[in-house]
Amino acid sequence: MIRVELPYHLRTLAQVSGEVFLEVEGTVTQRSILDTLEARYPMLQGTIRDHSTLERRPFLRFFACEEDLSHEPPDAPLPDSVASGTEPFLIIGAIAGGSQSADERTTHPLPTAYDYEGFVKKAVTS
Amino acid sequence: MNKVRVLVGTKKGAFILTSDGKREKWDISGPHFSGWEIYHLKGSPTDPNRLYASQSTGWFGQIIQRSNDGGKTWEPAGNKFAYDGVPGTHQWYDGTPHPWEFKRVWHIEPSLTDPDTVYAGAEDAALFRSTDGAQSWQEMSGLRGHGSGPHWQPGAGGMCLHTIILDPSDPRRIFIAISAAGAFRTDDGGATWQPINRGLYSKGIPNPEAEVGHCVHHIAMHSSRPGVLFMQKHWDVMRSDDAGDSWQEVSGNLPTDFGFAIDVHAHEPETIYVVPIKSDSEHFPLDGKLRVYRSRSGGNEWEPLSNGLPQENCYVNVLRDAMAVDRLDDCGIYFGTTGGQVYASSNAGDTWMPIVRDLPSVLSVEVQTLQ
Repeated sequence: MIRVELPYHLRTLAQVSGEVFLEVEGTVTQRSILDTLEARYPMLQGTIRDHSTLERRPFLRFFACEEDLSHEPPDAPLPDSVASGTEPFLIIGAIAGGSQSADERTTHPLPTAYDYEGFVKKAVTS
Repeated sequence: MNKVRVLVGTKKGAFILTSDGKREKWDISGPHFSGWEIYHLKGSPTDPNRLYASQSTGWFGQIIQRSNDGGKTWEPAGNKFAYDGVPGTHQWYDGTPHPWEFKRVWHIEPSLTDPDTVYAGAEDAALFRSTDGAQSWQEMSGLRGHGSGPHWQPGAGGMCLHTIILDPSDPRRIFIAISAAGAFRTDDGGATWQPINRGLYSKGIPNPEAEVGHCVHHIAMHSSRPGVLFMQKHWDVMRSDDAGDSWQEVSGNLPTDFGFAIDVHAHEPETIYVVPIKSDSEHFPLDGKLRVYRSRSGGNEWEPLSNGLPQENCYVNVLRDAMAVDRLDDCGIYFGTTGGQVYASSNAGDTWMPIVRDLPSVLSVEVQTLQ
Protein backbone atom coordinates (compact mmCIF):
# COMPACT_ATOMS: atom_id res chain seq x y z
CA MET A 1 0.00 0.00 0.00
CA ILE A 2 1.46 3.34 -1.09
CA ARG A 3 1.16 6.24 1.31
CA VAL A 4 0.70 9.72 -0.18
CA GLU A 5 0.65 12.90 1.79
CA LEU A 6 -1.17 15.79 0.12
CA PRO A 7 -0.88 19.46 0.99
CA TYR A 8 -3.70 20.90 3.06
CA HIS A 9 -5.68 22.48 0.22
CA LEU A 10 -5.66 19.34 -1.86
CA ARG A 11 -6.76 17.24 1.12
CA THR A 12 -9.65 19.65 1.50
CA LEU A 13 -10.46 19.51 -2.19
CA ALA A 14 -10.39 15.71 -2.23
CA GLN A 15 -12.20 15.58 1.11
CA VAL A 16 -9.63 13.35 2.76
CA SER A 17 -7.86 13.64 6.06
CA GLY A 18 -4.39 12.41 6.80
CA GLU A 19 -2.51 10.26 4.35
CA VAL A 20 -4.05 8.70 1.26
CA PHE A 21 -3.43 4.98 0.80
CA LEU A 22 -3.25 3.69 -2.75
CA GLU A 23 -2.88 0.31 -4.41
CA VAL A 24 -0.53 1.01 -7.31
CA GLU A 25 -0.16 -1.59 -10.02
CA GLY A 26 3.23 -2.32 -11.54
CA THR A 27 6.36 -0.35 -10.84
CA VAL A 28 5.88 2.38 -8.31
CA THR A 29 6.88 5.65 -9.95
CA GLN A 30 5.80 9.26 -9.70
CA ARG A 31 3.64 8.73 -12.74
CA SER A 32 1.97 5.56 -11.51
CA ILE A 33 1.26 7.10 -8.13
CA LEU A 34 -0.22 10.24 -9.65
CA ASP A 35 -2.22 8.29 -12.24
CA THR A 36 -3.71 6.17 -9.45
CA LEU A 37 -4.28 9.19 -7.23
CA GLU A 38 -6.09 11.12 -9.96
CA ALA A 39 -8.19 8.12 -10.90
CA ARG A 40 -9.33 7.79 -7.29
CA TYR A 41 -9.80 11.53 -6.84
CA PRO A 42 -10.64 13.07 -10.23
CA MET A 43 -10.97 16.52 -8.67
CA LEU A 44 -7.18 16.52 -8.28
CA GLN A 45 -6.62 16.37 -12.02
CA GLY A 46 -4.81 19.49 -13.10
CA THR A 47 -3.92 20.54 -9.56
CA ILE A 48 -0.63 18.63 -9.21
CA ARG A 49 0.43 18.36 -12.82
CA ASP A 50 -0.72 19.97 -16.01
CA HIS A 51 -3.73 18.39 -17.68
CA SER A 52 -2.09 18.07 -21.06
CA THR A 53 1.67 17.89 -20.55
CA LEU A 54 1.45 16.05 -17.20
CA GLU A 55 4.33 18.20 -16.01
CA ARG A 56 4.51 19.01 -12.30
CA ARG A 57 3.01 22.37 -11.46
CA PRO A 58 5.84 24.82 -10.77
CA PHE A 59 4.94 25.58 -7.15
CA LEU A 60 4.78 21.93 -6.10
CA ARG A 61 7.54 19.53 -5.19
CA PHE A 62 7.73 15.77 -4.69
CA PHE A 63 9.68 14.38 -1.75
CA ALA A 64 10.35 11.00 -0.20
CA CYS A 65 12.95 9.54 2.14
CA GLU A 66 14.36 13.00 2.84
CA GLU A 67 15.13 13.54 -0.82
CA ASP A 68 13.75 15.98 -3.35
CA LEU A 69 12.53 13.82 -6.22
CA SER A 70 10.90 16.64 -8.13
CA HIS A 71 13.36 16.60 -10.97
CA GLU A 72 13.60 12.84 -11.28
CA PRO A 73 12.09 11.29 -14.42
CA PRO A 74 8.40 10.54 -13.83
CA ASP A 75 8.88 6.90 -14.78
CA ALA A 76 11.90 6.31 -12.56
CA PRO A 77 11.21 3.72 -9.85
CA LEU A 78 10.73 5.29 -6.43
CA PRO A 79 12.69 4.04 -3.42
CA ASP A 80 11.72 0.64 -2.08
CA SER A 81 10.59 2.18 1.19
CA VAL A 82 7.97 4.19 -0.73
CA ALA A 83 6.90 1.15 -2.75
CA SER A 84 6.54 -0.87 0.44
CA GLY A 85 4.66 1.87 2.25
CA THR A 86 7.32 2.34 4.89
CA GLU A 87 7.81 5.94 3.82
CA PRO A 88 5.19 8.29 2.37
CA PHE A 89 5.38 10.05 -0.99
CA LEU A 90 5.04 13.73 -0.17
CA ILE A 91 3.44 16.32 -2.42
CA ILE A 92 4.36 19.70 -1.03
CA GLY A 93 3.46 23.26 -1.90
CA ALA A 94 6.39 25.64 -2.07
CA ILE A 95 6.60 28.22 0.65
CA ALA A 96 5.90 31.51 -1.05
CA GLY A 97 5.37 34.84 0.55
CA GLY A 98 4.33 38.28 -0.53
CA SER A 99 1.24 39.13 -2.52
CA GLN A 100 -1.59 36.65 -2.87
CA SER A 101 -1.11 35.87 -6.50
CA ALA A 102 1.65 33.31 -6.72
CA ASP A 103 2.79 34.83 -9.98
CA GLU A 104 3.73 37.97 -8.10
CA ARG A 105 5.33 36.33 -5.08
CA THR A 106 8.85 36.13 -4.02
CA THR A 107 9.22 32.41 -4.08
CA HIS A 108 11.70 30.95 -1.71
CA PRO A 109 13.59 27.86 -2.79
CA LEU A 110 12.88 24.73 -0.85
CA PRO A 111 15.55 23.42 1.47
CA THR A 112 17.47 20.46 0.19
CA ALA A 113 17.91 18.85 3.58
CA TYR A 114 15.37 19.25 6.32
CA ASP A 115 13.06 17.64 8.75
CA TYR A 116 10.21 17.18 6.34
CA GLU A 117 7.55 16.61 8.96
CA GLY A 118 8.35 20.03 10.29
CA PHE A 119 8.48 21.38 6.79
CA VAL A 120 5.06 20.01 5.98
CA LYS A 121 3.58 21.67 9.03
CA LYS A 122 5.19 24.94 8.07
CA ALA A 123 4.12 24.64 4.47
CA VAL A 124 0.48 24.02 5.20
CA THR A 125 0.15 26.78 7.74
CA SER A 126 1.94 29.53 5.86
CA MET B 1 -41.38 37.41 0.42
CA ASN B 2 -38.40 38.28 -1.69
CA LYS B 3 -34.89 37.44 -0.61
CA VAL B 4 -31.52 38.64 -1.69
CA ARG B 5 -28.41 36.50 -1.94
CA VAL B 6 -25.09 38.27 -2.38
CA LEU B 7 -22.23 36.14 -3.70
CA VAL B 8 -18.84 37.50 -2.69
CA GLY B 9 -15.54 36.26 -4.08
CA THR B 10 -12.44 37.18 -2.10
CA LYS B 11 -8.74 36.47 -2.05
CA LYS B 12 -9.26 33.88 0.67
CA GLY B 13 -12.57 32.24 -0.10
CA ALA B 14 -16.20 32.83 -0.99
CA PHE B 15 -18.90 34.23 1.23
CA ILE B 16 -22.66 34.16 0.77
CA LEU B 17 -24.70 36.94 2.35
CA THR B 18 -28.48 36.56 2.53
CA SER B 19 -31.26 38.83 3.68
CA ASP B 20 -34.97 39.31 3.28
CA GLY B 21 -36.37 42.06 1.09
CA LYS B 22 -35.76 44.70 3.73
CA ARG B 23 -32.02 44.13 3.42
CA GLU B 24 -31.36 45.21 6.99
CA LYS B 25 -30.28 41.97 8.69
CA TRP B 26 -27.88 39.65 6.98
CA ASP B 27 -26.80 36.07 7.45
CA ILE B 28 -23.25 35.35 6.39
CA SER B 29 -21.94 31.94 5.40
CA GLY B 30 -18.35 31.19 4.62
CA PRO B 31 -15.59 31.08 3.96
CA HIS B 32 -16.29 28.53 1.27
CA PHE B 33 -13.09 27.19 -0.32
CA SER B 34 -11.14 28.75 2.51
CA GLY B 35 -7.72 30.01 1.56
CA TRP B 36 -8.32 29.92 -2.20
CA GLU B 37 -8.76 32.91 -4.46
CA ILE B 38 -12.35 33.10 -5.62
CA TYR B 39 -12.25 35.43 -8.58
CA HIS B 40 -15.96 35.14 -9.29
CA LEU B 41 -19.11 33.23 -8.54
CA LYS B 42 -22.50 33.63 -10.13
CA GLY B 43 -25.91 31.97 -10.23
CA SER B 44 -27.98 30.78 -13.14
CA PRO B 45 -30.83 33.15 -14.03
CA THR B 46 -33.08 30.18 -14.80
CA ASP B 47 -32.16 28.07 -11.78
CA PRO B 48 -31.04 30.35 -8.96
CA ASN B 49 -29.83 27.44 -6.86
CA ARG B 50 -27.32 26.51 -9.55
CA LEU B 51 -24.17 28.45 -8.74
CA TYR B 52 -20.76 28.34 -10.34
CA ALA B 53 -17.53 29.49 -8.71
CA SER B 54 -14.02 30.05 -10.03
CA GLN B 55 -11.52 28.85 -7.45
CA SER B 56 -7.77 29.11 -8.00
CA THR B 57 -4.33 29.49 -6.53
CA GLY B 58 -0.89 29.79 -8.04
CA TRP B 59 0.03 26.46 -6.45
CA PHE B 60 -2.81 24.22 -7.55
CA GLY B 61 -4.25 26.02 -10.53
CA GLN B 62 -7.88 26.31 -11.49
CA ILE B 63 -10.91 24.60 -9.98
CA ILE B 64 -14.51 25.20 -11.01
CA GLN B 65 -17.06 24.52 -8.29
CA ARG B 66 -20.76 23.97 -8.80
CA SER B 67 -23.64 24.09 -6.35
CA ASN B 68 -27.20 22.88 -6.86
CA ASP B 69 -28.57 24.18 -3.58
CA GLY B 70 -27.74 27.85 -3.56
CA GLY B 71 -24.27 27.45 -2.15
CA LYS B 72 -24.98 25.19 0.82
CA THR B 73 -22.95 22.39 -0.74
CA TRP B 74 -20.51 22.36 -3.63
CA GLU B 75 -18.88 19.84 -5.92
CA PRO B 76 -15.81 20.27 -8.11
CA ALA B 77 -16.65 20.35 -11.81
CA GLY B 78 -14.37 20.26 -14.84
CA ASN B 79 -11.20 22.30 -14.74
CA LYS B 80 -9.54 21.48 -18.04
CA PHE B 81 -9.28 24.67 -20.08
CA ALA B 82 -7.38 23.79 -23.23
CA TYR B 83 -6.87 26.35 -25.96
CA ASP B 84 -8.14 25.25 -29.32
CA GLY B 85 -5.38 24.17 -31.71
CA VAL B 86 -1.93 25.70 -31.49
CA PRO B 87 -2.39 28.65 -29.13
CA GLY B 88 0.30 30.82 -30.70
CA THR B 89 1.56 33.98 -29.05
CA HIS B 90 0.39 37.34 -27.84
CA GLN B 91 2.58 40.28 -26.89
CA TRP B 92 4.30 40.34 -23.55
CA TYR B 93 4.69 43.54 -21.53
CA ASP B 94 7.91 44.36 -23.38
CA GLY B 95 6.36 43.78 -26.77
CA THR B 96 7.99 40.41 -27.40
CA PRO B 97 5.91 37.39 -28.44
CA HIS B 98 4.73 35.32 -25.47
CA PRO B 99 3.00 31.94 -25.64
CA TRP B 100 -0.65 31.80 -24.70
CA GLU B 101 -0.82 30.16 -21.27
CA PHE B 102 -3.93 29.44 -19.24
CA LYS B 103 -3.72 30.92 -15.75
CA ARG B 104 -7.21 31.29 -14.28
CA VAL B 105 -10.86 32.05 -14.86
CA TRP B 106 -11.74 35.64 -14.05
CA HIS B 107 -15.44 35.64 -14.81
CA ILE B 108 -18.22 33.07 -15.07
CA GLU B 109 -21.40 33.90 -16.95
CA PRO B 110 -24.25 31.38 -16.80
CA SER B 111 -26.57 31.21 -19.79
CA LEU B 112 -29.78 33.22 -19.65
CA THR B 113 -31.81 30.17 -20.68
CA ASP B 114 -30.05 26.94 -19.71
CA PRO B 115 -28.53 26.27 -16.28
CA ASP B 116 -26.10 23.74 -17.77
CA THR B 117 -24.64 26.22 -20.24
CA VAL B 118 -22.06 28.56 -18.83
CA TYR B 119 -19.30 30.79 -20.19
CA ALA B 120 -15.89 31.41 -18.64
CA GLY B 121 -13.53 34.30 -19.31
CA ALA B 122 -9.91 33.25 -18.92
CA GLU B 123 -6.42 34.64 -18.48
CA ASP B 124 -4.59 34.45 -20.90
CA ALA B 125 -7.56 35.92 -22.69
CA ALA B 126 -9.98 33.42 -24.15
CA LEU B 127 -13.66 32.59 -23.91
CA PHE B 128 -14.71 29.08 -22.97
CA ARG B 129 -18.17 27.51 -22.94
CA SER B 130 -19.60 24.47 -21.24
CA THR B 131 -22.94 22.93 -22.13
CA ASP B 132 -22.85 20.15 -19.54
CA GLY B 133 -22.90 22.06 -16.30
CA ALA B 134 -19.18 22.90 -16.31
CA GLN B 135 -18.02 19.30 -16.59
CA SER B 136 -16.19 20.01 -19.85
CA TRP B 137 -15.09 23.22 -21.52
CA GLN B 138 -14.51 24.16 -25.13
CA GLU B 139 -12.80 27.31 -26.26
CA MET B 140 -14.80 29.63 -28.51
CA SER B 141 -11.67 30.15 -30.50
CA GLY B 142 -13.15 32.46 -33.10
CA LEU B 143 -12.39 35.24 -30.66
CA ARG B 144 -8.65 34.67 -30.46
CA GLY B 145 -8.61 33.75 -34.12
CA HIS B 146 -10.21 36.88 -35.42
CA GLY B 147 -6.81 38.25 -36.37
CA SER B 148 -5.60 40.70 -33.78
CA GLY B 149 -4.77 38.15 -31.07
CA PRO B 150 -0.99 38.20 -31.65
CA HIS B 151 -1.07 41.96 -30.92
CA TRP B 152 -2.95 41.74 -27.63
CA GLN B 153 -0.94 42.73 -24.59
CA PRO B 154 -1.64 42.19 -20.88
CA GLY B 155 -2.71 44.95 -18.54
CA ALA B 156 -1.14 45.24 -15.12
CA GLY B 157 -3.41 42.51 -13.80
CA GLY B 158 -2.67 40.11 -16.62
CA MET B 159 -4.24 39.53 -20.00
CA CYS B 160 -7.66 38.60 -18.80
CA LEU B 161 -11.07 38.24 -20.37
CA HIS B 162 -13.05 39.72 -17.49
CA THR B 163 -16.41 40.77 -18.89
CA ILE B 164 -19.03 38.60 -20.60
CA ILE B 165 -22.45 40.05 -21.44
CA LEU B 166 -25.13 37.92 -23.05
CA ASP B 167 -27.74 39.77 -25.09
CA PRO B 168 -31.19 38.81 -23.77
CA SER B 169 -32.82 39.78 -27.07
CA ASP B 170 -30.47 37.85 -29.32
CA PRO B 171 -28.90 34.57 -28.18
CA ARG B 172 -26.30 34.83 -30.92
CA ARG B 173 -24.91 38.14 -29.68
CA ILE B 174 -22.26 38.24 -26.93
CA PHE B 175 -20.10 41.11 -25.73
CA ILE B 176 -16.76 40.52 -24.04
CA ALA B 177 -13.91 42.70 -22.84
CA ILE B 178 -10.21 42.00 -22.39
CA SER B 179 -7.50 43.92 -20.59
CA ALA B 180 -5.72 45.31 -22.46
CA ALA B 181 -7.12 44.40 -25.86
CA GLY B 182 -10.53 46.05 -25.65
CA ALA B 183 -14.14 45.09 -26.30
CA PHE B 184 -15.39 42.57 -28.85
CA ARG B 185 -18.78 41.40 -30.08
CA THR B 186 -20.07 38.35 -31.85
CA ASP B 187 -23.35 38.34 -33.74
CA ASP B 188 -23.22 34.71 -34.79
CA GLY B 189 -22.96 32.80 -31.55
CA GLY B 190 -19.19 33.06 -31.27
CA ALA B 191 -18.06 31.88 -34.70
CA THR B 192 -16.73 35.33 -35.63
CA TRP B 193 -15.96 38.42 -33.60
CA GLN B 194 -15.29 42.05 -34.26
CA PRO B 195 -13.53 44.61 -32.11
CA ILE B 196 -15.92 47.33 -30.92
CA ASN B 197 -13.58 50.06 -29.76
CA ARG B 198 -14.30 52.95 -32.12
CA GLY B 199 -14.43 56.14 -30.13
CA LEU B 200 -12.13 54.94 -27.36
CA TYR B 201 -9.05 57.09 -26.83
CA SER B 202 -6.17 55.74 -24.74
CA LYS B 203 -3.13 57.93 -24.30
CA GLY B 204 -0.89 55.12 -23.14
CA ILE B 205 -0.78 53.19 -26.40
CA PRO B 206 1.10 54.02 -29.61
CA ASN B 207 -2.06 54.82 -31.53
CA PRO B 208 -4.56 56.24 -29.02
CA GLU B 209 -7.45 55.39 -31.35
CA ALA B 210 -6.27 51.91 -32.30
CA GLU B 211 -8.78 49.23 -33.22
CA VAL B 212 -7.46 47.04 -30.38
CA GLY B 213 -5.20 47.66 -27.41
CA HIS B 214 -7.48 49.58 -25.06
CA CYS B 215 -7.59 48.73 -21.39
CA VAL B 216 -11.32 48.27 -20.89
CA HIS B 217 -12.03 47.66 -17.22
CA HIS B 218 -15.69 46.72 -17.29
CA ILE B 219 -18.90 47.02 -19.31
CA ALA B 220 -22.50 47.06 -18.10
CA MET B 221 -25.82 46.76 -19.90
CA HIS B 222 -29.48 47.04 -18.90
CA SER B 223 -31.44 44.01 -20.05
CA SER B 224 -34.27 46.13 -21.50
CA ARG B 225 -31.87 47.97 -23.83
CA PRO B 226 -29.22 45.56 -24.99
CA GLY B 227 -27.89 47.99 -27.57
CA VAL B 228 -26.87 50.49 -24.91
CA LEU B 229 -23.58 49.76 -23.21
CA PHE B 230 -21.72 51.62 -20.47
CA MET B 231 -17.98 51.19 -20.06
CA GLN B 232 -15.47 52.03 -17.39
CA LYS B 233 -12.23 52.22 -19.30
CA HIS B 234 -8.85 52.53 -17.58
CA TRP B 235 -9.45 56.25 -17.82
CA ASP B 236 -12.82 57.52 -19.13
CA VAL B 237 -16.40 56.43 -18.67
CA MET B 238 -17.92 55.68 -22.05
CA ARG B 239 -21.33 54.99 -23.57
CA SER B 240 -22.46 53.28 -26.73
CA ASP B 241 -25.97 53.46 -28.18
CA ASP B 242 -25.26 51.15 -31.09
CA ALA B 243 -24.11 47.92 -29.43
CA GLY B 244 -20.52 49.04 -29.33
CA ASP B 245 -20.13 50.20 -32.92
CA SER B 246 -19.21 53.62 -31.56
CA TRP B 247 -18.53 55.09 -28.14
CA GLN B 248 -18.85 58.54 -26.62
CA GLU B 249 -17.23 59.72 -23.44
CA VAL B 250 -19.69 60.48 -20.63
CA SER B 251 -17.25 61.16 -17.81
CA GLY B 252 -18.74 64.66 -17.49
CA ASN B 253 -18.24 66.14 -14.03
CA LEU B 254 -16.68 63.10 -12.39
CA PRO B 255 -13.79 64.15 -10.12
CA THR B 256 -11.65 61.46 -11.74
CA ASP B 257 -12.71 59.12 -14.50
CA PHE B 258 -10.32 56.33 -13.60
CA GLY B 259 -12.00 53.34 -12.00
CA PHE B 260 -12.96 49.73 -12.37
CA ALA B 261 -16.60 49.04 -11.53
CA ILE B 262 -19.69 50.21 -13.40
CA ASP B 263 -23.30 49.05 -13.23
CA VAL B 264 -26.83 50.01 -14.21
CA HIS B 265 -29.91 50.46 -12.00
CA ALA B 266 -32.25 47.47 -12.30
CA HIS B 267 -35.30 49.52 -13.31
CA GLU B 268 -33.88 52.77 -14.67
CA PRO B 269 -31.74 52.09 -17.74
CA GLU B 270 -30.33 55.63 -17.71
CA THR B 271 -29.19 55.44 -14.08
CA ILE B 272 -25.64 54.23 -13.81
CA TYR B 273 -23.04 53.92 -11.06
CA VAL B 274 -19.27 54.14 -10.92
CA VAL B 275 -16.70 54.36 -8.14
CA PRO B 276 -14.08 56.94 -9.13
CA ILE B 277 -10.54 55.98 -8.15
CA LYS B 278 -7.78 58.57 -7.92
CA SER B 279 -5.50 57.28 -10.65
CA ASP B 280 -3.80 54.28 -12.17
CA SER B 281 -0.83 55.04 -9.94
CA GLU B 282 -2.86 55.36 -6.76
CA HIS B 283 -5.62 52.79 -6.61
CA PHE B 284 -7.72 54.40 -3.89
CA PRO B 285 -10.51 56.99 -3.68
CA LEU B 286 -9.79 60.69 -3.92
CA ASP B 287 -8.93 62.35 -0.61
CA GLY B 288 -9.61 59.17 1.34
CA LYS B 289 -13.36 59.56 0.75
CA LEU B 290 -15.22 56.55 -0.58
CA ARG B 291 -17.95 57.77 -2.90
CA VAL B 292 -20.13 56.10 -5.44
CA TYR B 293 -21.16 58.41 -8.25
CA ARG B 294 -24.59 58.12 -9.83
CA SER B 295 -25.81 59.52 -13.10
CA ARG B 296 -29.53 59.56 -13.77
CA SER B 297 -28.99 60.80 -17.30
CA GLY B 298 -26.91 57.97 -18.72
CA GLY B 299 -23.68 59.82 -18.01
CA ASN B 300 -22.15 63.30 -18.10
CA GLU B 301 -24.02 64.58 -15.05
CA TRP B 302 -22.93 62.78 -11.92
CA GLU B 303 -23.76 63.14 -8.23
CA PRO B 304 -21.67 61.80 -5.35
CA LEU B 305 -23.28 59.30 -3.00
CA SER B 306 -21.54 59.20 0.35
CA ASN B 307 -24.19 58.78 3.05
CA GLY B 308 -22.99 55.84 5.12
CA LEU B 309 -19.65 55.46 3.37
CA PRO B 310 -16.35 56.38 5.05
CA GLN B 311 -15.41 59.97 4.30
CA GLU B 312 -11.96 60.04 5.80
CA ASN B 313 -8.91 57.82 5.80
CA CYS B 314 -10.37 55.35 3.32
CA TYR B 315 -7.81 53.94 0.91
CA VAL B 316 -9.44 50.84 -0.50
CA ASN B 317 -10.14 49.95 -4.10
CA VAL B 318 -13.28 48.59 -5.74
CA LEU B 319 -12.43 46.07 -8.43
CA ARG B 320 -14.15 45.60 -11.78
CA ASP B 321 -16.47 42.74 -10.87
CA ALA B 322 -17.16 43.95 -7.34
CA MET B 323 -20.39 45.90 -7.94
CA ALA B 324 -23.87 44.51 -8.57
CA VAL B 325 -27.54 45.42 -8.27
CA ASP B 326 -30.61 43.52 -7.09
CA ARG B 327 -34.02 43.61 -8.78
CA LEU B 328 -36.25 44.51 -5.86
CA ASP B 329 -38.65 47.41 -6.33
CA ASP B 330 -36.29 49.68 -4.45
CA CYS B 331 -33.19 48.74 -6.35
CA GLY B 332 -30.33 47.63 -4.15
CA ILE B 333 -26.72 48.45 -5.02
CA TYR B 334 -23.81 46.47 -3.61
CA PHE B 335 -20.08 46.73 -3.83
CA GLY B 336 -17.07 45.18 -2.15
CA THR B 337 -13.67 46.66 -1.44
CA THR B 338 -10.11 45.47 -1.29
CA GLY B 339 -10.33 46.28 2.42
CA GLY B 340 -12.89 43.51 2.89
CA GLN B 341 -16.03 45.60 3.30
CA VAL B 342 -19.24 44.86 1.43
CA TYR B 343 -21.53 47.87 1.33
CA ALA B 344 -25.21 47.79 0.44
CA SER B 345 -27.76 50.41 -0.40
CA SER B 346 -31.44 49.48 -0.41
CA ASN B 347 -32.49 52.80 -1.93
CA ALA B 348 -30.58 53.06 -5.17
CA GLY B 349 -27.52 54.55 -3.54
CA ASP B 350 -29.01 57.31 -1.39
CA THR B 351 -27.74 55.69 1.80
CA TRP B 352 -25.31 52.88 2.46
CA MET B 353 -24.50 50.42 5.19
CA PRO B 354 -21.80 47.80 5.50
CA ILE B 355 -23.04 44.23 5.46
CA VAL B 356 -19.63 43.02 6.59
CA ARG B 357 -16.44 44.93 7.29
CA ASP B 358 -13.62 42.47 7.66
CA LEU B 359 -13.63 39.94 4.88
CA PRO B 360 -10.51 39.21 2.87
CA SER B 361 -9.93 41.53 -0.05
CA VAL B 362 -13.07 41.42 -2.22
CA LEU B 363 -12.60 40.38 -5.84
CA SER B 364 -16.21 40.11 -6.98
CA VAL B 365 -19.80 40.72 -5.93
CA GLU B 366 -22.90 39.30 -7.58
CA VAL B 367 -26.51 39.51 -6.42
CA GLN B 368 -29.43 37.16 -6.84
CA THR B 369 -32.98 38.36 -6.22
CA LEU B 370 -34.98 35.35 -5.05
CA GLN B 371 -38.72 34.79 -4.73
